[in-house]
Amino acid sequence: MTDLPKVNLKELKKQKELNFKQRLEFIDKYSDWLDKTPNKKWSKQQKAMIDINKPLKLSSPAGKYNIKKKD
Amino acid sequence: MEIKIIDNIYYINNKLITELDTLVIDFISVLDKYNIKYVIISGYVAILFGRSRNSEDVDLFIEKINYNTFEKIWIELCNDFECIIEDNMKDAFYEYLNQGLPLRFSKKCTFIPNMEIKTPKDELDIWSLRNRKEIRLNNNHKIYISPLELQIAYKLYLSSEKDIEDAKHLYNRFKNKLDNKLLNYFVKELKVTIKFRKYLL
Repeated sequence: MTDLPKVNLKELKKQKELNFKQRLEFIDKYSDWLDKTPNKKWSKQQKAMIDINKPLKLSSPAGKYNIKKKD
Repeated sequence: MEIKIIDNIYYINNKLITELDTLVIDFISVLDKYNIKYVIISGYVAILFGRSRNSEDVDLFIEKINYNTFEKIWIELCNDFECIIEDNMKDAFYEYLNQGLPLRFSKKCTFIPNMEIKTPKDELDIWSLRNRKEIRLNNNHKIYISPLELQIAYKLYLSSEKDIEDAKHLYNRFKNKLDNKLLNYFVKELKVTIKFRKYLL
């Protein structure tokens, strides 16, 4: 294995913290938008986002794959 | 976002119902039918109030019930749901719910999202069930959730990035409507004062 990147954990930690800070800032911005947006409008966007992950039906009951406590 | 709070009931109207909302509404309609007291405690509370994320499960506490009652809800749930943890009704009750272990129910032939039910274990759980808040969704569906003051502090206690974001979302939504004494109590008791100041204020 050649040319593998060096991992800079200190830098990654900094980036992770910055990313989280930016996500919290987004929540504030999103909150401001929610404040002035009617329920019908914001929920339309939320529905589009949530329902895109509409549950996929399995070919047989999911219970068939039960992982029981006693196993 | 328009939320009206009248007589301690939160009214959310004109919300488009998502698949996740439908899962919750269908599940709790069975609990309501048999007058089983429940409270939703999970990230779904933040999602119900507009948070821009999805969830693979919805957590709720139900009051302790006997086997006869459990049998009734199990049979009723089996019309539309399946228990993905245990398919034997007796084992589901005696080896899981009655032992304080959670059960997960999903719509038939799906794994996710699912409803995770458990019985209250400690004083906080019992308090949240006793003091649950009523939501009226689109003037049609009644949904009971944990008091927001506890929900916010508890999310900070759990403290994953997702949980802190949920707490921030709920705090932003309701900061002028919260019972600050109650919120401070839970923040102090759960020892999340520093996180509260750092992330929410």
